[in-house]
Amino acid sequence: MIDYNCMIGQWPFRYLRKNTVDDLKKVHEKHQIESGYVSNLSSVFYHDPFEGDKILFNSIKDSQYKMVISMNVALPNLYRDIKMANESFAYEGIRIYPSIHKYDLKSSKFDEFCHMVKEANKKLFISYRMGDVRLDYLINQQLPDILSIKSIINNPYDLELYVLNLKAQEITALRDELFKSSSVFFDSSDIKHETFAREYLKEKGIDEKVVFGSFFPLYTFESNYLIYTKT
Amino acid sequence: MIIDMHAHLWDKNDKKDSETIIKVLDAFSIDKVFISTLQDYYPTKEDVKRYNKKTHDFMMRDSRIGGFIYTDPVHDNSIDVIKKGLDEGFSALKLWVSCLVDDQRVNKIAEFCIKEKLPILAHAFKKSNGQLPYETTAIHIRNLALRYPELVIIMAHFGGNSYDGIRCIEDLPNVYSDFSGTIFRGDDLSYAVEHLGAKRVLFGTDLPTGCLQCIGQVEGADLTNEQKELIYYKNTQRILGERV
Repeated sequence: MIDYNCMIGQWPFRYLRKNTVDDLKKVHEKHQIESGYVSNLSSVFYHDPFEGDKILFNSIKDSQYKMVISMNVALPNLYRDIKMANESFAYEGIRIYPSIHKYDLKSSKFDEFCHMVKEANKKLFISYRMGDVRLDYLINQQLPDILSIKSIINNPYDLELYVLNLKAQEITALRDELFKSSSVFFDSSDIKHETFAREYLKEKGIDEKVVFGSFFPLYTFESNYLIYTKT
Repeated sequence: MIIDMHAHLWDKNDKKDSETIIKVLDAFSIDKVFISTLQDYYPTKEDVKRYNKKTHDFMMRDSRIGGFIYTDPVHDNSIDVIKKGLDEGFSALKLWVSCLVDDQRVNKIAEFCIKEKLPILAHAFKKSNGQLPYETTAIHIRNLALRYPELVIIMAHFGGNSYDGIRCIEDLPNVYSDFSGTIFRGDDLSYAVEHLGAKRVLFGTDLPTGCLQCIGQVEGADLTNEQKELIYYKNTQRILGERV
């Protein structure tokens, strides 16, 4: 099994007790998780996310983990960032955080960004939410309009796309669009609201589009592992 | 052994909810669950009567189901509702969102509960958005606990946001807390145990909405087996006493 939604690094709003690569390895090995797509939480808040990604690169090189760089589409010179990442890192994907960085997924800048991701031949990970918005502290998340997600999963850019942290019912609401592209997936990190979540997704005929995501370290790994494997 | 001390039937969906709860008990080896029935934020007396009847009917159906009485402090019959529930074998009292828990109208309920050694499970949730007008937060729990140091209060959901809730009740030994609900942030349980001690943390789920996220929190935290046992069932056994 692969963890499509895991991170290391600092979260500025609370002290994380387990947030290093070693912590991640330990919990993955305990549950026979072979690998994971890892980002650096710190990069979400750094004005130059590249600084956090350098730390991430050095932390996971020579490990089983695949690097996912973090970008803020609202920042200038995205092309430079992707070019620098291509030259500096062996990385697999780019992760974005529109609820924190607060930009419009229907903007021309986002359109331009998606073309760059395609050109770089990288996977795109979109964090729909970074935890329960009711618990926001200092920064209030601005969740993207679900219609903008709908248009993205139609996948006009022909990307390998992972939409992270959607609730089971939100994924279900997108059902008509889900199978239009074979390279669009969702992760399981926020499907908790259905008690038998996997059974629910199977009943709706969409379980095959949902991959395992723990959202470590912001969520309890064991909780999402149990939800994915036992429901 | 696992005792889930915080679960619900929703009045408009009670049949499906009861099926889900039984399925969870069977699938995840939960030995006992305590439920209350809820629906409207501001119920009528008839609503409250119907909610408690649904809880009682479910209790009669399966010995693994226990009940918490739901009463609305706003109603003039709130004590009578509790008395009836005690006669019917309910185990504790549930307060929800119709009235802040430190409202003066709760005083008579608190005094009755002290006399009857009846714990109060009080909903508490501090939200950064969407707070209901009479939705209790940890500071209201604190006010009630200081007013009645003999009253046993269980603050639900770690007060919603554990970093707000736990700090408010840390120095109040008559207040316990559960981590029921869909929030399972890494470290919340560790933080609560560090500040309250394992003896003041109770296992609850908020079923029918989810269950495994709560078991995962216990299994994922760095706890001793003794601490896990306290959280999973021993604390609830101790607090509910013979009513468990």
